[in-house]
Amino acid sequence: MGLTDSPSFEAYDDGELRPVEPEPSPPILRYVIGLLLALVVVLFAVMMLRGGGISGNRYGAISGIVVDQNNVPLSAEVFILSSARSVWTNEDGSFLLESVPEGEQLLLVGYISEADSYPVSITSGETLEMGVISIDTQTRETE
Amino acid sequence: MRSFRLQRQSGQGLIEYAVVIALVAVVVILVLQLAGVSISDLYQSVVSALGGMGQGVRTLFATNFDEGLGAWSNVNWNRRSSGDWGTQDGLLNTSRFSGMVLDDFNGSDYVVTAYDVDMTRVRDQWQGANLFFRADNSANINGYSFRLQKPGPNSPGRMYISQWANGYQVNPSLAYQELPADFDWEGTYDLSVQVSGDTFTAFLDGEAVLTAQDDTYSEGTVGFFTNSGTEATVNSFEVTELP
Repeated sequence: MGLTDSPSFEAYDDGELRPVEPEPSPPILRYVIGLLLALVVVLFAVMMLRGGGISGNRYGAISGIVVDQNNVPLSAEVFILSSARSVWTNEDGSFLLESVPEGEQLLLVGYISEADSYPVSITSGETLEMGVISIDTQTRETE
Repeated sequence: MRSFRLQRQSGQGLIEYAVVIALVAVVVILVLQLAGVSISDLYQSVVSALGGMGQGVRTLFATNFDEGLGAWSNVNWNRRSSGDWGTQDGLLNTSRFSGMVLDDFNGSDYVVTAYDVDMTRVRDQWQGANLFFRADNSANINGYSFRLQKPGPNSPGRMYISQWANGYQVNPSLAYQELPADFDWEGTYDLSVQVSGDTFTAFLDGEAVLTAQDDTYSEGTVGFFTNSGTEATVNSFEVTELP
């Protein structure tokens, strides 16, 4: 028997040697943890890519002219749903709304109490020309 | 000869099990979010399927206005400052063309009800009264409304559910229905909306009258507002959990 195989004093239990326990099975749980961690990393990466966080900013713009039912330029507020950014039309009723995220958006043209909505599709780097947007001001509730 | 050697037995600790459980939960949440599933809606579905967490429907807020309007704030709807609201004899007294929303309330799914809304015509145009729900308390309101509205004496009255964005009511409405010609615009009604997920059901005197769907806003406060042709009193106001 080699020295490395010699039992130590601690191996004696109440004067008798304790039998050698077989090697434990591989730490499967640690493999599972590692796999789950890798999965978490992958899912986060997918979420970032889908959210455009890694792909970078992609924006377009929208332009047009807002008039009333008599073709008179209107002072209207133009914005995208769920966006805090808005622009007001110029004296001639024209507007240019920039930094609009690409993809499907809802353009809102607000006058007095209501905003007419227009589904639009925005392409990165391009300006969507809406043309003339007519609003019937007579249907708006006033004080 | 058997080999006798002390072997330290390595087992799996409880901490490792806890880490596994936590990571599984994180993975499930991420997968659900990627799939577009609302965790809160899923939880609510489970709770509802189990018959709720308690007995009956829990009241989230209730007032008969005896305590005044301390729990409320003026809301700048229609991009105009609000009017003069007050309470008297246990009733909310509203002025025309103005509104208030409930402070310190932010719910996702609930039933909001204004009881005994007694409308008084102050002019022939734009009569009616309305509820806000899933609204914010910003300077220019975002959220939803259930509206009773009569634009003029020669126009049909209507009720509709609308979305609000940046202080504007968004057209077209989410749901719309004309009211009968004999609808009493100086009558007394219970206005209610059941807000559940992306589905909103409006009730008039306890009867379901409109249903709309939208997923823009997932939570918010509630409120009441009048059109420019109506002043109203309200007996009580209540917000409850979904039945």
